[in-house]
Amino acid sequence: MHIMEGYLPASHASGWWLATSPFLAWGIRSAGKIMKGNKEAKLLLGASGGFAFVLSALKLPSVTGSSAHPTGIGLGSVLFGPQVMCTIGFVVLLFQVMFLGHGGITTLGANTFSMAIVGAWVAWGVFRSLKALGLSLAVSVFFAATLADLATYITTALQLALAFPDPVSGLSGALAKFMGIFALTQVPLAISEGLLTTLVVNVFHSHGREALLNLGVISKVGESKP
Amino acid sequence: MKNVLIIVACIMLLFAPSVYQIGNGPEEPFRGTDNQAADQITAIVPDYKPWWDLHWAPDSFLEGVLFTIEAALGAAVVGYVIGFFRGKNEKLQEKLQK
Repeated sequence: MHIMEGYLPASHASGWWLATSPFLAWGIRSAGKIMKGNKEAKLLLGASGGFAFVLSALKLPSVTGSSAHPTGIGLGSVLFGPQVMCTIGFVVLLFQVMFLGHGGITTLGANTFSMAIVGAWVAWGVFRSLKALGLSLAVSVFFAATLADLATYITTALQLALAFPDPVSGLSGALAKFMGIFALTQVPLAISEGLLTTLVVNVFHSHGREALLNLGVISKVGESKP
Repeated sequence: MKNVLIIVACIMLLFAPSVYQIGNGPEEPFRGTDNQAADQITAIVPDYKPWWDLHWAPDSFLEGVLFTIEAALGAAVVGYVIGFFRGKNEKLQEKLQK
């Protein structure tokens, strides 16, 4: 999902920066509120950031013979809601541009949009919907993180297709080509991400139930098991 | 038990591509999709030149080291937080038993 430096035309790059900036401001405010709160919430926010660092640094092989990264955005979105994850995702991506030579400053707006805005909101939306339908914590978390990962890469494909429509087959032709690169490769990685996110939430559920209750991730009634 | 199954499933997903692959895949085995997207851009717009260059890029060996450091930093934080909650929970259980 890292669009490489300089690989979006200037107009698109600045457009995505513009679209990302209000979410970023919102995310910083949200992070400020959490940092004023109790110690456990702060620690969980730290863990969410750490988790995004780990997962987005893992370059994994896929059954298509290609490789790609998970995103790690799902965990924090499930715990805190989507707003704050824009900031965390932005920091992760900035770190990767500055120190790892991965992604780009010009494309950072677009990359933040796909991973830390679309990914985060999809994770949160899926998690809340499945919980409302009465599914268990583990199942809801799994689908939230898996679908967030997929949504991120679909967004990247869309961003590239918008910038580089095919001269013959147009936008839809280009979208098919970029989806061909990203979509199938990402499926097993998205499943891994869903599983790992569920694992971490399970651990927090066994040892930090009260903190999850305070965040509203679980409710008091009928949720003794993960 | 459930968590052990999750770990086993992740390991299987990690090794599956070495055993079995769908389709032909890219020419260079396990080429990153990020790079393939850049290749595709050049295929659609042959004269496209990135209009901004990365300030620097590590060689592939250093890149591996740096990604490992990033993952280790993140894992350390996650491990610390899990340890904190475990310790706190144990103390609470001891108190309840007394």
